[in-house]
Amino acid sequence: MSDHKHEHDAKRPDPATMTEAEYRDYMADPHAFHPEHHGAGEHAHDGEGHHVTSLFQLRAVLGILIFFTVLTVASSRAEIWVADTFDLYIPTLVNVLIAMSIATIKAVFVVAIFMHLKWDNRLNLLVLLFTLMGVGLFIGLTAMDLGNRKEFYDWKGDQIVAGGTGGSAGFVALTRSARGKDEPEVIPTSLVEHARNRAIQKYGEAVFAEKLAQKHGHHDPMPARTPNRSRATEGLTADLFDTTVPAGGDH
Amino acid sequence: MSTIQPTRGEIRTGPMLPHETVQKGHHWRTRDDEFDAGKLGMWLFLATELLLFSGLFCGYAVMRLLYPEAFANGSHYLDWRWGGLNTLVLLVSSYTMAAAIRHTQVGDRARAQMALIVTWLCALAFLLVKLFLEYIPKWSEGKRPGVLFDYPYAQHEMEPMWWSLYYASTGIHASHVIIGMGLIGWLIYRNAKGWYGPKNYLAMENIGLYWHIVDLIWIFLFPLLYLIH
Repeated sequence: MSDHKHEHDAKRPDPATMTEAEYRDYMADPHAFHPEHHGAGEHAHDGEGHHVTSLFQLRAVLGILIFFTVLTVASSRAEIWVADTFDLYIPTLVNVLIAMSIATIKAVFVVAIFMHLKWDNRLNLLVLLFTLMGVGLFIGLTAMDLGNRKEFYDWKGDQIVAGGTGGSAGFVALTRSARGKDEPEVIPTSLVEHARNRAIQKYGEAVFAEKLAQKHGHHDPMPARTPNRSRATEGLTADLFDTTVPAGGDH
Repeated sequence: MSTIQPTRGEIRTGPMLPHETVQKGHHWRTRDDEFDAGKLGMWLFLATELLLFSGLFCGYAVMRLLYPEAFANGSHYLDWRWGGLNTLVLLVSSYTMAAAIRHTQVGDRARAQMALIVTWLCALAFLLVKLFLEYIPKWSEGKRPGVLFDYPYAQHEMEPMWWSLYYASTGIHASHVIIGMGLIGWLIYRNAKGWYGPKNYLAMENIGLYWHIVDLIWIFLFPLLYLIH
């Protein structure tokens, strides 16, 4: 593409070297908006100069993308295996960094080769980079807010609860009325507890406990989790539903 | 105005195909200008697409930092095998889309058509897996977003929030796949009529860019939703 453009610049007409007739013709359309009047103009820039990516290159990129997909899944499964087998917990941050780095590498291959940015007009790359800057601002400024929450906790400590109460999401539920329509209903508990209470009403305590054990009974006893310890979570938060834990259960 | 040139290196009898006779828009100085401007416009649109999804990624980051346990539970509810299968399907479709453009650039219309059809079928496979192996089983169990939530065995108060983000991000992504299927279907129809060739493939190039962005978003959604716990 870019070679093409330079060639065009080099061939730019120079009025100083023109004959009288050529100069009149040139001044009639100095920016060559109607190249068909100028003999060769039409076919010099007719879109055949674009980069053609070879099939080998495209297939190599597909292979690389599949390899990295397998790698990211394998690293995630390996972490679970290490946690289960050796009782060794890798910090969440490592987990996130590995997954996001691999995703970024894959993204670079897609953008550079499949989307032709490697050979493309640089203006398109500039659009992408400015967009990524915007994405960085979104996430960066939000992270700054989250990182400075402590200041607010010290200041308004008695008015707020760290991480929120979770209550705001839970005071209205949609309940199927007798007319078969879903209608908003004000509930005294969170959505999660509301759903659980309704299931207990429907099945009875004993049957519900059985069903719950079926869903979660196969899990190993869990150590307390902290943001710095990650493991193959089997959907557990210890002691949340003490009353319904079956005897000898692992919750 | 200008004389019609046959496709590079090709000797053929019979009537000219549309892509051989189509002219650039009269307001463009050259075909290259038309092509570059059209592509720049597509990139500007893709920028807005990335910003749309970055809002969702940002919401994900905030909620994950505030409620790590709910999100750890959430990713456990998803089966990485279906997510992984869909990732492979989308990667293959991205390759066939890029290959279709390459075949068109060298004037191999039949292979381009085959590549486009494979791309379309991959998109369909992605949606079928998403709908019948993920959305429907989860929805019927009560794993639903926000106030629709009705899963009795949830283990964390904020799991409805996880499902809200899950359905919002994968749902908007899936709607892009549906739109992409429509666009690729249109390409298949037009290519059958002979509209795309070495000098005239801007529409295919731009729809290809769109399709790669859809793939790109999934490349990030897959680890965020299925793998990180």
